[in-house]
Amino acid sequence: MFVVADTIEFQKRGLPHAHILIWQADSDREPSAAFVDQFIFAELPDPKEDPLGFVLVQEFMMHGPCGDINPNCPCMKDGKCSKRFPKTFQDKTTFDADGFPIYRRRDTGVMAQKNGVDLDNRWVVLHNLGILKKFQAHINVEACNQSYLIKYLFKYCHKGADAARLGVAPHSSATGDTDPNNSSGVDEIAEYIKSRYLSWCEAVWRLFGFEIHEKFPAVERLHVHLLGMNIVALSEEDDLEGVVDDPDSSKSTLTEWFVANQRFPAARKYTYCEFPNYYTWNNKNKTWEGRRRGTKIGRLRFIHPGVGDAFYLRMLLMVVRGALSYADVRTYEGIVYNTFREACQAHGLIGDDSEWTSLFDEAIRWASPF
Amino acid sequence: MLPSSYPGSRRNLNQNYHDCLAITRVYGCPTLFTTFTCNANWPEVEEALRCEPGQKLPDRADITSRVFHMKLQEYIEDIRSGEAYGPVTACENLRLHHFVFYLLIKQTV
Repeated sequence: MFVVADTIEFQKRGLPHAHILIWQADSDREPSAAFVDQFIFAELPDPKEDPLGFVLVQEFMMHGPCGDINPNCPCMKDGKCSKRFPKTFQDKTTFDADGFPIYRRRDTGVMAQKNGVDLDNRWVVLHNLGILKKFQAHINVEACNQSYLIKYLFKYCHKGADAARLGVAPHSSATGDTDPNNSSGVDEIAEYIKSRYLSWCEAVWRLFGFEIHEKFPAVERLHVHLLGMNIVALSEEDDLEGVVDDPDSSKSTLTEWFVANQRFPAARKYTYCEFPNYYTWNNKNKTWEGRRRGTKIGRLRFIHPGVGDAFYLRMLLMVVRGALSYADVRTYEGIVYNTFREACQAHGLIGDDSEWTSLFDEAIRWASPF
Repeated sequence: MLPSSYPGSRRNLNQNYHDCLAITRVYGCPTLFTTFTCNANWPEVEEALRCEPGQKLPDRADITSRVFHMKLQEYIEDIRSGEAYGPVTACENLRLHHFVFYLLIKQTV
């Protein structure tokens, strides 16, 4: 098995670049043309009315020129522009059958010059004029309110660096290790160091310790584990016996959730997953405390269905409210079940093959082939 | 094995991706997707480069990085405050570098 480089695209000169996803407050509604037009522009401003806007769009937000004028443009693939420029003129913003917006590009006769070529509105990259004026840089803005695009978008945001890393690691396939999840035969650290390409700018960025990923609200990753099976982090110098004897070692977000439910009766109306909205995890003291400000989203860590009971525990934790102990999680309508699986059955969460159907449905939504 | 606490590792990206899906579970689909690219000709960058005659952009990656960092923080603050795109419930940002080469992998078995 060989890894073959399929396409090579030369991008900018290694300049930093950020991808940002935005959830607007009234995002439940269907995107309308007026909504799109409010934030996203695809036209050259009139140079007489808005000279600054015109100059900035001309400098930063014009695509190409590509096509017959410039067949060597990096966007050209098989004789066509991969970004589908030039677009067609549109009198107003509409949506195609998939709900994908076709932005307004009127034939206003305004021309911009780039590399000696006259370009009209068909060549304008989507942008926001106010933001463009403030920051004076290439800032692309697009509507993305389509559920089928989510996975693609998130993948795009989270796999960029990895793709470059894999691209220069042809030797990893020489070991015959074809399963990317099987890390037993691969020294991941060596692979990471040897096969990584760092541009000068990124190297400095990492040296300064600037963050490469930010989001708000924050997401609390909640642990799910069977009794006494929680993860304990320790450093090389730690005294192992000391770690074992430390009562904090057996504490996790889950065990302390039970404790918090005993301490705060008001907390019992929430599931484990909802809990971080109202309480904060203090990792130093290993306790949950009442939330004073902000908000946080809870997320139960993924558990492979193959591990058995812990998988069913996770399933129960999505629905059970205010449990005080593991036994409490297994209890349904006054009956304490022996295993989490039986409790799941009593809840009606499983019974036939529906769990596998729902599992596959879930996997379609988030799983990735690499 | 690189742990998920190491920024940029495979597990780290995977966890971030799952966090993103958790946000989507609560708030629905993101509505806007925007990219923000560094402008090598920002006056702040050019001015700082002029201090030393003959200096070129690749000689001073620290300047580009710092200026871009400041501008990006300001942009995100504008988004959070609602000044840029109206009221916002959530925002997710991943800073990347545009790699000089960008390889797509085709595996042949």
